[in-house]
Amino acid sequence: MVGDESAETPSAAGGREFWRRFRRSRAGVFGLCLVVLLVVVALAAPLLAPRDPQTTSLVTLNPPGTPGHPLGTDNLGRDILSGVLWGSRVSLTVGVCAAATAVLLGVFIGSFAGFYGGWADAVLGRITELFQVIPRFVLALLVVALFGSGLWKLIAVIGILSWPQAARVVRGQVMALRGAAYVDAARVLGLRNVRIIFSEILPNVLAPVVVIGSLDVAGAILLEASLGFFGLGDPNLVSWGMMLNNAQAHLRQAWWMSVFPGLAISLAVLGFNLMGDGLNDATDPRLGV
Amino acid sequence: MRTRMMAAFLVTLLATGIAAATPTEPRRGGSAVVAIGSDPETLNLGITTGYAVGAVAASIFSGLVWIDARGEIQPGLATSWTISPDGLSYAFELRRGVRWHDGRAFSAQDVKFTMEQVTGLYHGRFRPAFQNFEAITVTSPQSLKITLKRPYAPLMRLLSVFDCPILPRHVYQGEDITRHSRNNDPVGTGPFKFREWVRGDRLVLERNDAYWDPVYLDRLIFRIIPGAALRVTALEVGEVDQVADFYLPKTDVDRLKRNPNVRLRLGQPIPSMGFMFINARRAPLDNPKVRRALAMAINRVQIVTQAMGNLARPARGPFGDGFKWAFSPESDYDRLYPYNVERANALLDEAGLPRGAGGERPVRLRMVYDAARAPIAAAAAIIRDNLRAVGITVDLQPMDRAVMIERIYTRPDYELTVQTFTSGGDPAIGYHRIYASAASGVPFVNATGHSNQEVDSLLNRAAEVPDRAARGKIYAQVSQILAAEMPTLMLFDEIGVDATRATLRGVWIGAEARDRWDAVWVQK
Repeated sequence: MVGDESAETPSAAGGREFWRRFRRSRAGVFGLCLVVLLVVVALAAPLLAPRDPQTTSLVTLNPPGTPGHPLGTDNLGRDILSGVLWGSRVSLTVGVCAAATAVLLGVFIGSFAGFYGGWADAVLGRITELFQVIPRFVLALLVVALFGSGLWKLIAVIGILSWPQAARVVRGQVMALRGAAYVDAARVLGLRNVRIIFSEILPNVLAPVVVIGSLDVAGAILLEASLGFFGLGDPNLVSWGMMLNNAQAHLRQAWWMSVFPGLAISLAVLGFNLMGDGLNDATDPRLGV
Repeated sequence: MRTRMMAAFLVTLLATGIAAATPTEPRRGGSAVVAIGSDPETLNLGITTGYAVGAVAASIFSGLVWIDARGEIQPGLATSWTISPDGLSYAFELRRGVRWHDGRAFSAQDVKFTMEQVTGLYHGRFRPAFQNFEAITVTSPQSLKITLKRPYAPLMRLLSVFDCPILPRHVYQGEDITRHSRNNDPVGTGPFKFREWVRGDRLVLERNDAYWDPVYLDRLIFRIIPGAALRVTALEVGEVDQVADFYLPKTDVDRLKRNPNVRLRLGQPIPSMGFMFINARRAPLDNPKVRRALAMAINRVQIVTQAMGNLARPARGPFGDGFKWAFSPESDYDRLYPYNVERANALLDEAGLPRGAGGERPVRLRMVYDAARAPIAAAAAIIRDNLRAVGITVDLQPMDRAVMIERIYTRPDYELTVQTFTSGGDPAIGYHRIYASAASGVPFVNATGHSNQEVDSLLNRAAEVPDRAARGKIYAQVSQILAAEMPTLMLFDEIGVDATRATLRGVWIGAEARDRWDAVWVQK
C-alpha cells in the first residue's frame, strides 16, 4: 500500500470500490439516472410546471400539442403535464417515507428476532408470516376506506404493511453474525445486547437493507398509485394514481389522460427497481470483483 | 341491361329502406331484453323502493294510475276519480273485469288491503302519505273512497305502480307480508306474468293475455349485468335492447348518440336536482352574506358542462326549473347570483373575512361527499377550485356512502356537501325536505341546521293547496326567502338519458322507462 490510496479513510475507499462495482451494471446506472431525474423533477416541479395542476379551465379534454398544454388537458380542463410533474412529489414522498418506515420496522423486528432467537424469534417470525400472508393491497384498501385518505395515512399504511421482507433478511443476517468471533468479543467486553445489535451487528447488515429499501420504494410507489387508481388517494393532492382514476371514465375519448401518468408510474417504479438490482449486484461479494 | 338491373336493385334497396324507416303497425311476438344492475332484493314492489325491483315488478303489478311521458296522470286500475273541492276526499271508479294472474277477480278490497296492510306500512314513499289518511272506504266491489286528515296536493302521483302497486289480498291476507314466499313468485294484474328467475343471470316474464290493453311482446327478459361499461357494450352489440337512465354511465352517452342502432331519450319527466348543503351551524357559514358569496363564486355552468357532461341544466332557483309552474322569475339565480368573482370577493370582504398576506381568507371548509359517484367528485373538485379563486380553502373529503350519510345527516360534521335528490314527481314529495326544518339524525332531509318557521309554514301550505296556479304563488313566496337566505345552493337540474335499440318500438310512453312495457313491440 503506497501513495495516496493509503491516505484515504477506509470508508472512502469502500465507497469508491462500491461505485466501481455499481457502474458495471448498466441497468443499475440507468435506474439511478431515472431516480435522479425523478428527484430533480419533484424538487423543481413548481418551476417546471406550466400551470397549477389543480386549476380547472373550460379547455376540456384537449389533446396533446394544444398551445399551453403540451400533454393536453383532462375532463375539468386541468393541465396534464403539470399534473404529471407535481404528481412526482406525492409518489416520491410516499415511496421514500413508506419505504423508510418499512425498513426501520423491519430492521428492529428482524434484528431482535435474529439476535435473541428462541421464543422471541418464534413469536416475531409468526407475526412476520402473518403480515406476509395478508394480501397487502386488500388490507390497504380496507384501511384507507375505513379511516379516510391523506398523505401521512397513506405513508403509515403502506409502511406498516411492507416491513416483513426487510425483517426476514435482517433476521437471517443477524442470526449468521450472532455467533461471529467479534460479537463474542464484544460480549466478553461486557457490552449490553442492545449496543451489540446496533453498533456491532447492524452496520454489517446495512448493504442488503439498502437494496431492500430501494425495492420497497418502488413497491410503495406502485401501491400508492393503485390506491389512487381506486379513488383512495389523497383527494387534495395531485397524484399519478388519482389521475389514472379520473382517466378511467374517459379512456375511449382521451388516451392522454391515462398514458402520461401511467408512463410516469412505470418509469419511477422501473428506476427504483433497476437501481435496487444494481445495488444488490454491487454489494454481493459472491459476484466477484 | 346492366344499368336496368342496377336501377331495379337500387329501387328495391330504396323501397326496403323506406319500409324500414316508416313505423308499421304494432306487431305481436318476439321478446325484449332489459339490462339491470343487480338481482332485485324481492319482487314485491309494495315493500321497497329498490330500483331493480321496480324495473321488473312494474310489469307484473299495476297501480291505480300511471304517469305519462309528459308527467300527466293517466288511468290504470282506476278508470276515473273525483276529488272533493276541499281536497280531503278522493273517490275512485275501478276498472271492471280485471283478473289476477292466478285467475281470481280483482276488486276494491285488494286496493284497501294493499294500502292498509302493505304499502302504508312498508313502502318508503307511500308510508308518509298514508299517515295522512283518515279512512279508506270500499263503496262497491269496483269503487272506493279515500279521505284525508289534511289536503295533500301530490297524492295522485303516489298511486302509480312504483309507489303503490296493488297486491292480491287473497294471496297475502293474514300472512307475514315481508317474508311471504310469493314475493319471489308474484301474482299481479300487470301486462306480464312471472315465469322464471335465474339468480345473478336473468329474470323472465311472459305475456299476460288477460291484460286490458294489448300486450305485444311474448317475453320480457331482464339480464343482470353489474358492470356499467358492460351494460353499454351489451346494448351496442344488441345483446340487450334497453338500458334505463339509472343504469347508464353518462360518459358513454356521446358515443351512443352517434350509434344509428341506438335511440336515446334525453330529459327528465321526473325532475331531480343536485345541490350543495351549506352547514349553517358553523361560522362563518351562519352568515347569509357568506352563503350568498359562495353562490356567486361557484360556476354552475362549469359544473354542468364538465362534471355532468352537459346532461344537466344550471339551477335557476331554489326549486330549479323542472316544474315550470313552481319556478319564480323573481328568484332566478341567473339574475340574483350570476357567476361573478368580483362581487363574491366584495361580499366576503364585507362579511369581515379579509384576505391575509398569502391572499387566503381565514376560512377553511370541509367538502364531504360520496366517493363512489364520479360526477359528484368532479363537481366537488370544481367547487374547490372556484372557491380557491376567492381565497377560500376547501378540503375534499370523499368517503364511503355509509360514512358520508353519518357525517352529513346522522351527526352533522361538515361544512359543505354535494347531494342529489329526486323530486318524486312533485316538489312537495321530494324537494320540501331540502328546506323544511329537520332534526339531525334523519337521512336525506335538510342537513344544514338552517330553520325558518315562515318557510316551513309556506311549504306546508304548498303541499295542501290542490290548484297549481295557487301553489305557484306560494312557491314564488318561499323561493324569495330561500334565495335571500341561501341555506342550500342549488347547482343543477339533472337531465336523464334512457337508451334503447332502435328496433324496439312503442317505448317510453310513460315518464319512467320502467313503466308500460305492454305498448312495446319489436320491429323486424
